[in-house]
Order: sequence, then C-alpha cells, then structure tokens
Amino acid sequence: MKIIKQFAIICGLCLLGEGVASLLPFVFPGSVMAMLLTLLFLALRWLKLRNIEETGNFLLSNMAFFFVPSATGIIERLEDIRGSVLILVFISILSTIITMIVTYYTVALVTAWMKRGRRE
Amino acid sequence: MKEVLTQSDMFGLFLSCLTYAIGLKIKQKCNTPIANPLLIAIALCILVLTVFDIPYADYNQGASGITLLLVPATAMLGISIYKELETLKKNLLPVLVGCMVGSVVSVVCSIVFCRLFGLTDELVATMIPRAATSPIAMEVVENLGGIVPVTVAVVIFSGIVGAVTAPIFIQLFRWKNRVATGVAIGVSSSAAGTSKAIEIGEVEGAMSGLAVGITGLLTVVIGLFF
Repeated sequence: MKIIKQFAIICGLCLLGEGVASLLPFVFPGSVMAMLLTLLFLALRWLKLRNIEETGNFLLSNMAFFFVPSATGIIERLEDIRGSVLILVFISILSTIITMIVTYYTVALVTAWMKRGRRE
Repeated sequence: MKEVLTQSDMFGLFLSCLTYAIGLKIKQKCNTPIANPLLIAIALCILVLTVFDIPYADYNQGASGITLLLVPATAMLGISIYKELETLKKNLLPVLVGCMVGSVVSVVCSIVFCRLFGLTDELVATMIPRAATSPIAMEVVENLGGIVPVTVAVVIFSGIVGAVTAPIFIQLFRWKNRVATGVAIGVSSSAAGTSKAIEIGEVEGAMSGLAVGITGLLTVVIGLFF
C-alpha cells in the first residue's frame, strides 16, 4: 500500500516534469526536470521525504539494473563501432583522468582562495 | 519451442533479472569496481542472444518495461541532492565551480580527442555527454543524434576507470582536500565512482553524489549548445 502510494507520487512528479519540460523553448529531458522539481518540492517542504523515501531509495539503489535492456541494445549497433572500439576506450580513459585531475585542482584552488579571502 | 519461450514477454524480464543477479553475486564475491554488475549483465545478455540466435526485438519486447523505470529513478536523484543540501550550502562556490569546470573539460576532451582520431559525427555526439550519469547522458545523446547504447556503455566504462584510478591519484598526488576529491570523482566517474567515493570516506561520498547530480544537469545545459 505504502509503496504504491509513493510510486503514485513519484510517477506524478515525472509526469509534471515532462509537462514543464515541454513548455520550455528548447529540448530539455523530462526526467531531469522531474529531478529538479523533486528537489524543489522537498526543499520548499511541499513534499515530505517520508512520502517518497522507500520507493525512491529502491529506484536509486537499483538504477544500474534499469539499464540492462537499453545497454544490451548495443548488439544492434556493433557495425557502427566495429573499427573504433579501442579508440573509444582510449578516449574514455584519457578524458576521465584529465577531468578528474582538473576538477580536483579547481575545487582545491577555489577553497584556498576563499580561505585567504576570509583571513584578509 | 524456442520461439514460444523467447517471444514471451517474460523472456526479456527473466533474462535481465537473472543476468543482473549473477552480476551482483560476482561483485559480492570479488569486491573490485572492475566486476561491475551492469557490465556483467550486459555481456551475459549479449552472449545468450548471440549463442541462441535470438533477435534483440524479441528480448526487448518484455525487457523494455524495465527501461521505463529509468525516468522515475532519474527523478529520484533529486533526493540525493536534497539530502546533501546542507553540505552543498557550506561548500557552494567550490562545488559549483568544480562541477562547471569539470563538465566543460569532459565535453571538450571528448570532442577534441574524437576529432583527432577522425571519428564520425555520430560517434562524437555519442561521446559528448560522457561525464553525465547514464540516464541523463542517454537523454542528451538522443537529442544530439548519437548512439544511445554505446553512450551507456561508455559512461559505465568511464565510471569504472574513475573508480579504479581515484585511489591511485589520492596517494600519488597526496590529495588531502576531501571536498575536492569527492567532487573530482563525482564529476569524472558518476555512479561507479560514487560507490568508490563512499568507501573512501563520508565527505567524499556525499560530495561525489552531489557532483553527479549537478554535472548531469550541467551536461544537459551544455548539450543545448550543440
């Protein structure tokens, strides 16, 4: 009963997200709009965490599972990437590492600047 | 007999659940980010479909029901940001600037490297949202005209790379700023990275989770410019 009620609220949020996203003048994913609305409603206390928590946590902790069918669809696109698999792997490794290192030093730098600013 | 079984809606559901359960079991046995349950499940599904010569459409007929749940799951990322709202307020500027710079660097890296290797426009589009968490990357890549399942695979793979390399960098470069470490992991390696960040420490885990949500949002915004 509780799970169904929570699921109804969550699906309602998703529907609302898709509605709001469709009003925007550019293409914006409805699910991401639903994420923003969920955050907004929780922060404004229009929605209480306990009204979505159990079902929400179930969806979050099993997120990876929901990808199995769409990712298995790669089987139909193997022709498109046949010659490029190693390149894609190489680019992914390099980009991930560069992004991680740049982000660390950016955050560290901003933190250090803010500390110095506070002291002065 | 084979057709009766594989053309049932239950076939896709059964195969997806079974393979993912096997993936979870393997992950439990050897606790390393390389044993990613999703990656194992995908590999096993592809193996079964290939060996028994079953069309993907037959499989997906039932399995597509699982895909539907991605939308509410993405919406619930709002909960994980909400839970860390206090931490975000305390570190607002560093986290936001870090996510912004990181998201842009990731997109630029992907485009530049893809062009250097002379990949097709379709593959460049496929690689652009690499840093975003998979459900968001999927939406972005669909609008950009890339190959959705390849993006999902690339996002998972990048996450594993991040989860494996993060502890190495922390030691090698003596990363002491825990907020910066968390954000760096979250931006570069979304979900798989965050589970590693949670292992590293509470601050790192919270920051990483927060960075995943913000980076996803920023990637959508960056995607609007292409």
